[in-house]
Amino acid sequence: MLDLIISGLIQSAPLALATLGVVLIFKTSFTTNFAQGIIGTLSAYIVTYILMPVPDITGNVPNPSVGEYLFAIIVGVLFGFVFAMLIDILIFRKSKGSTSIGKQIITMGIVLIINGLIPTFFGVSDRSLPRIGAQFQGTFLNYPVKVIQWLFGLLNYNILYHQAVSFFISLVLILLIVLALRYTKWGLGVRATASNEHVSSMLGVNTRVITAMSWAIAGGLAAVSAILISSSRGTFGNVTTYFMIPTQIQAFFAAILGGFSTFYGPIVGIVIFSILNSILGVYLNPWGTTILYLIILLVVLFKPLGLFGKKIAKKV
Amino acid sequence: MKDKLLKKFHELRKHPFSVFILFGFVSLLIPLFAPVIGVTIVDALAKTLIYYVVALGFSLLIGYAGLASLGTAAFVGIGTFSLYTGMQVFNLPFIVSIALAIAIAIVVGSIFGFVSLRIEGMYLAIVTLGLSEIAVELFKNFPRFTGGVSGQTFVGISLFGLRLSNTAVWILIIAFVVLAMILTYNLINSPTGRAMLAIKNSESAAQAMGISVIKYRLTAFVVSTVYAVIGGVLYMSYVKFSIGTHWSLAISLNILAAVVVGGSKSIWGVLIGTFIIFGLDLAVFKSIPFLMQSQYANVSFIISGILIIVVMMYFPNGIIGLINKLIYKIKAKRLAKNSKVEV
Amino acid sequence: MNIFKKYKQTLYVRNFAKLKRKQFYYQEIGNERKLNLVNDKLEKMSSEMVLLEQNKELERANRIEEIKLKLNEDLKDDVKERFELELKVEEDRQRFMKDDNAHLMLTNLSMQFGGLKAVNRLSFTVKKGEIFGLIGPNGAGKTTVFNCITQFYKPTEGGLYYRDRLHKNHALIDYQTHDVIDLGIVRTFQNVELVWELSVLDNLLVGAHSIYSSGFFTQLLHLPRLKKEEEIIKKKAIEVLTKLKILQYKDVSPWGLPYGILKRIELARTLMTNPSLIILDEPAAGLNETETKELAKLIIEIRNEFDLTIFLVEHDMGLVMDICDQICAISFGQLLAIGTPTEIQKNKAVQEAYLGGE
Repeated sequence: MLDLIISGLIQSAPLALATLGVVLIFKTSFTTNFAQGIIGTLSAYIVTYILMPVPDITGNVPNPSVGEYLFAIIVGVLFGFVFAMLIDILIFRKSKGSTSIGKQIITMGIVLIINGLIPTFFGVSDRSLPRIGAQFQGTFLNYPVKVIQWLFGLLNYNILYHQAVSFFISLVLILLIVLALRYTKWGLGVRATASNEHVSSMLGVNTRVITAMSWAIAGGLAAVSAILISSSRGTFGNVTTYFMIPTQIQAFFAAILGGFSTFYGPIVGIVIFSILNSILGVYLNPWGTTILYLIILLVVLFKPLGLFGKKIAKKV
Repeated sequence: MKDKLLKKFHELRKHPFSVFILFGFVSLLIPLFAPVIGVTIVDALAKTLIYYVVALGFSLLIGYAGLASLGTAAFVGIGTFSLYTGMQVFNLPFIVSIALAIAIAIVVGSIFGFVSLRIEGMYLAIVTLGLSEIAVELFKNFPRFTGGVSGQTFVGISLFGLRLSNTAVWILIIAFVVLAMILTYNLINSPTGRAMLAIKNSESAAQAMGISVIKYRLTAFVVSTVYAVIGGVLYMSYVKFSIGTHWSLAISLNILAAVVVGGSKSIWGVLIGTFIIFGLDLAVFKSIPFLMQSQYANVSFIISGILIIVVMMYFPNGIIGLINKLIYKIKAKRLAKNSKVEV
Repeated sequence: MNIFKKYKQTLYVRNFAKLKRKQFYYQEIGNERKLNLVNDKLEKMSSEMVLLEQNKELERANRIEEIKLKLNEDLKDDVKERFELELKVEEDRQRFMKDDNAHLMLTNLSMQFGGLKAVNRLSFTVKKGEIFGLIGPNGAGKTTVFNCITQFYKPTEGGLYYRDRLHKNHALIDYQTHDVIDLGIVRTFQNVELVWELSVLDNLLVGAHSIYSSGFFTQLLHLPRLKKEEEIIKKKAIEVLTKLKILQYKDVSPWGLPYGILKRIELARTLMTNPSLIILDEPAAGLNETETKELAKLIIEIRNEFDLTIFLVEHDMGLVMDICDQICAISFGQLLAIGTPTEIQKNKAVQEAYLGGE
């Protein structure tokens, strides 16, 4: 049982990145970004393209050196970063008048576009992203990863190298963003815009830059999340147009569970979700995830704003 | 006597139903042109019209009730499997199978409707997405009714012991399309349609006028689910194959695109939208073999997505809104011209 | 048990409203036979209701006796307070029932939101046919008061009693938000809440929604009954629009029309159901002096013509002093003063609350 809990916790880390991206955009553009997962997917495709432009259908997975791999990943993440920022600048900046549902529909349009773009540019076969981990054994990353492995060893859990790498990277990123939200100008701007956009802009907060940065960071998070998740799912053909859909749905459900009002809510939500998913996945196979979704729906019926949600009363 | 008939004729001519029925008659003639335009085009038209029925139901949901649901595709899937289950598994007659499908639609629609009461607009899309993914899981795991992972072929419907040919199914499709158009028109121009708009604009004002939000949200969901399920029944009758994984997010998004791009509150708008989003794709990308297998098979998605974004940003009333504006401008010009001449 | 009772009562109220709608329809189209059937059913329901009321009265009398006895015991302060409140409310209710002129009565009404008591023990009576004004500085709780009246909120304490056109008394607490209109209570909104996607005429048809007796399938199939009803109600809408002098706008969307006209449209909408009490939510907000004077005239006109009682929540002292028969001034949710305009103007506490002491 403890094993299941820990494995759930480990799985939640990259998911938390996706969730954080969703919340970030929700707080600044006031819409739920349905394109979160697909932006990540696109970034993952680019990484695989750099590593192996034409996928080998006989089953060979690219085997890059540390340098090559790092380069590909950085390009992928940067792409996610820039692509998302462009979406904000070119589209959402001009859609200030739309309702939140209207903006949601726009993000759905983006999903369709990217879904069409991917096979057009990358072909129809699935691609492969090599497992992140072993390549970094010779680098500085080795030390923190070894520490993590030792920590988990204390709990009698044998965490695999690549899982530890993924866990470490996710944790670092989450920490960076939390710190940024608390201590940087951008973070302050995000929190101000989130609580009242008009007033913030009148008080001199450059909402356009804040929103663009938030989208950019969300895009980067989507990319990292997609790369980590795909690389942990086997090796051959782990990058497809739909591999992030379950993640996206889970990120949304976790955000609903935790409530969109806070930043920590959805993170707590995804941790709870992953742990429960891991436990139910064993005891209630194959209905585990389905039942979990239903449980969350039940919770939401009673607490429509999530576990940590706060209601803002409207004047009639 | 002749005068009376003539008067009645002119009355009918102006009646909106007459346009729908005219449309129906014209559409009935299309299969006759198959040798000229090609069987694939006729086939694409049939499927497009089937999706049109689904889209009409969805337009009631999003255009009138203002509820953004992503569960549409799952409902269509339920329709396909209900027909199969009714006719092939339980050997029920066609009419009874349809009744069964509608009954399931009412139950499922009510569930979604109740859920929508507790969840605010923006989150509804997420929740319905989750529910529809659950439905796809269910499709996978009940192969007896759904053919499981490999899908289910259907033998085709038979009325009074005779197996219906594709042409006969075409007539059935047109009949349902015209029926859907008429019923949608009726609902829009009735207290129910107006009540839904009132709720969409302001829940509290609607309640103050005696409109029960619960009742009309439920109505919106149940009605749109029934439309979607009927679409599924028609799909299964025509295509004779359905696989659970097909009825997922992509289809729901395309229905959304069709409605939004065409004009979410207009019967003709939704028709235009469906033709653009589905018709183009089916007639071009999914029928020309070269394109179908290639990496360009999903280019229609790109077009649909771009259309959604452009319409949402600049033409929220959809293409029909643009057309209406154009007609209005032409009429205004003509009026100005005429009045100038008279002076 | 309590929930069942409440549900039964709501069902009852709804069935009664349904029958009334059918009565209106058959009356308008002149179908004597069906009209008689409906009238018989209504009579039966009324006599049933009389019996129920009598039972309720007995129950209430018993409860009062119980409370009086309990008060003799040694109780905690807050429990004692609650019982005394119940006695007071009951006393006021008896007074209301005997007062032929009373239309609406609030007694010891309180509304609490978490830790904030927005309305505190407010009591007043609105007489039939009068124009009653509720004034107070911003945040005094005016909006909360009338949201309680229209059952948008359920008050935490106190009683709300109302007499409908058939001289039946109702405790408003027993009703749900969308059932209140069947009693004859309608309201307007401060930020005009019209449906922009419909024409002005259609907006009025929405206002008449509670009068339609056609069911879902009648509407789905546009059966003749719906067509006849639409005709009847359209005719009424045109009458109302003409009376309010805005007939020329009937086929356009309210979008972009001048504010004064929008307010008239909202007023027209409220008149569609033959209400007996209209609650106006800051009707003069956003209007200039001339427009406000016109509004004052209009309100008095419709009050006289349609035999209405008008309850006015307002900030604009000019309008209130001009047309109100009675004014109630509140501050921080509590009653400051109540009386005629002249009395209120002279009242020291009101002057302080409005002008000084911040």
